[in-house]
Amino acid sequence: MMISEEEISLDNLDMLAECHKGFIIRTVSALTGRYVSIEHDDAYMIALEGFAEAVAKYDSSRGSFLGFAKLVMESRLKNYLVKEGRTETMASLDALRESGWDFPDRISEEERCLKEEIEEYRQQLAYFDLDLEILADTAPKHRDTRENAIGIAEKTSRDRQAVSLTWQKRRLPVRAVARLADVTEKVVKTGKHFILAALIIFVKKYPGLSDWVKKAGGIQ
Amino acid sequence: MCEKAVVLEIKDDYCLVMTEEGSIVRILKKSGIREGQKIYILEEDLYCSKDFVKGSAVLPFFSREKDCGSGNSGCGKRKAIMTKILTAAAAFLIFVGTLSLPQLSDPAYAAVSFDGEKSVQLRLDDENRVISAKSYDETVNKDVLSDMEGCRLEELWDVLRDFSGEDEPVLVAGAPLKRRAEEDTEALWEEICENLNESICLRGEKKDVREADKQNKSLGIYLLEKAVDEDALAEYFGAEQGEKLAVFLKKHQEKMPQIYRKYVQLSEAGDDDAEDFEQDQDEADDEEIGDESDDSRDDDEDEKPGGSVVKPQNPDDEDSDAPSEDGNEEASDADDEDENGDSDEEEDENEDDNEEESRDERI
Repeated sequence: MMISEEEISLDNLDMLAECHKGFIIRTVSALTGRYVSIEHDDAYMIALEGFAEAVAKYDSSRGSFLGFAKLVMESRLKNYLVKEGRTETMASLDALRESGWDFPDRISEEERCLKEEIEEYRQQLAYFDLDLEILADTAPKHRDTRENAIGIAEKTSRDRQAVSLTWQKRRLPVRAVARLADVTEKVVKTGKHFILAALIIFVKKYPGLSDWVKKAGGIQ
Repeated sequence: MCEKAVVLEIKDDYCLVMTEEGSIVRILKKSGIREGQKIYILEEDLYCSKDFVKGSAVLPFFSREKDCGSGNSGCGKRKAIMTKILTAAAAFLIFVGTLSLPQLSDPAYAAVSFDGEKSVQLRLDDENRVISAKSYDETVNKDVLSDMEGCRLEELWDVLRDFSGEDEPVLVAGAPLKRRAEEDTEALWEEICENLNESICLRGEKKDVREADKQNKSLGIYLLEKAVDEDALAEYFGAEQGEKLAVFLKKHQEKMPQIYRKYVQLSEAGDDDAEDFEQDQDEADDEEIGDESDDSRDDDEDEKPGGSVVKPQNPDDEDSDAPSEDGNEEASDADDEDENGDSDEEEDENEDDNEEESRDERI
C-alpha cells in the first residue's frame, strides 16, 4: 500500500503500523533469526517503538520512508539485543540443546496447555491413520473450501450417532456426514481428511485448537 | 502475506503450523520455535522442498526463489521443471487454439448452392447475410462473388435468377451448418421458393456440405449425384419436382454427363418396368376374364407389387406406386368375389377391371 508523505505523521501511527505490519515483522525476524510471537514479543515491541520514532523524525530529505524506518528499527533492535545479550545467548542455548541439554522454556501457561492439546491431538489423528503431514498435503487450498469443510465438521460433531460411527469405523462416514451437512458426498470425499481432522478438534473440545479452527471456519 | 499461525509440530528441517485461515503448512525452522507457540509467518517463511511438490499446501510461492533457495535447493529445480511444463502446455494450447478457434468462431449458419448455367454456393449467417461465395465450376466471376459477400440474400435474387435462362429450373440445395439453424432454414426455403419459381429444391446436411467441398462440387451437384447413384431421386426430390429435374438435367447434360447418363439409365429402367407392368396387367385381366384359375390370379398378385414403377422424371413418381397397389387390392377383392361364382357380380367385376385398366393407362 502506498503511503503519501502527508500521511506520515504520529497522528496516523496506528494506521501506518498496521499497514506496515509485515514489514516490521520481516525486519525483526531477519535481525533476530526467529519468528515473531503473536502474544508478547520484546523485539517486536522495540521494533514498533523504532517505527514510531521513524514516523516522528521522518522528512523527505531522508529518502524513502521505509528505508529510513528500517534503519531506525534495526538500530534500536541491535541496541536492545546487545543490551540483553540475546543473540549470543540464543546461539549458545541452541548449541547446548543440540548437544543434549534441556532448558525449561519461559513459556506461558496458555502455550503449555496448547502444547499438550496438540500432543493429544496428534495421537487422535494417529488413531485415524492420519498425521499433520497428510493434512498439510491434502488440506483444501481455497479458503472457501476450508471454511465449508470446517462447517461440515462442526455440524457433524453435534450428531452423536455420526461421531460414534466415526470413532467406531476409524474413518469418516461420508454418506452420513453428507446427509447431515446437506452437501454432496463428493464434497465430503474430497475433503475427508481435513473434515475428520477438524471433527476431532470439535468432538474432543480442545479449547485452544477449537478457538483457532472456529475462527478459521468463521464459526462464532 | 502476514499470517498468524500456531506451531503444531517441529520436524528436523521444517515445522508444521496451522494458520488462522485453517490451512496446515510447512514453514522454515528457526531458532526458538516451540510447539504451541503462536507466531507471525510471512510468505518467505514457507518451506518448499521437492519432496512436497505434489499437493503441497506450500506450492503457490514459486516467485520467492531467493527465499526458497536459502531454505533448500530443490525449489529452483522445481521452478525450472514447472516453467518447462507450463511452456509446453502454453504451446500446446496455442497450437490447439489455432486449429480449433476458426471452427469454433465460424459464424456460418447455413449453406445454399444455386446451380443453373452458372453455379454459386453461399455461406450465410443467421441473418441470411452472405459470409462467403464460391463458384466451384468457376462460372461466376470472382468480382461478382466478392460483391456478393456481405449482401443479404434478398438483395441477390436478381443476380441468382440470371444464373439460368427464363423459365429454366435452378437447382437449389441448402443445408444448416449449425444445429439451431435446422428450424430456421424452413423460412429460408420458403423465401427461395417464392423468389425462384423454377427452383428444384434439395436439402442436405452439414456433412454433405463438407463432403461436397472435399469433392470440389457445389452442394446441389453433390446431392444430385448422390441421389442418382443411390437410385433415390424420389426420396431426394419428391415426386412433384421430377419434371423440373428432367428439364434441368437435359439442359445441363453436357455439364454433368455422368449424372445425366445414369439418370437416363434409371429412367429407361423405369420405363421398362412400367411397360412390363402394363403388359402383366393386361395378361392378368385377359386370364381373369377367360379363365378363372386361381394360380394365374395368385401370380398376378405376386407380380403386381413387383412391377411398381419408379420413374424419376414423372411428377407422380411416388404416387405411381400407390395407385397400382390400390389397384392390386381392388383386383384381389374382385377375385374374392369371383370365387362366389355369381354371374352378376362377374359383370360388375369386369367393369371394375376395365376401370382398373383405364386408370393404369392414365398412370
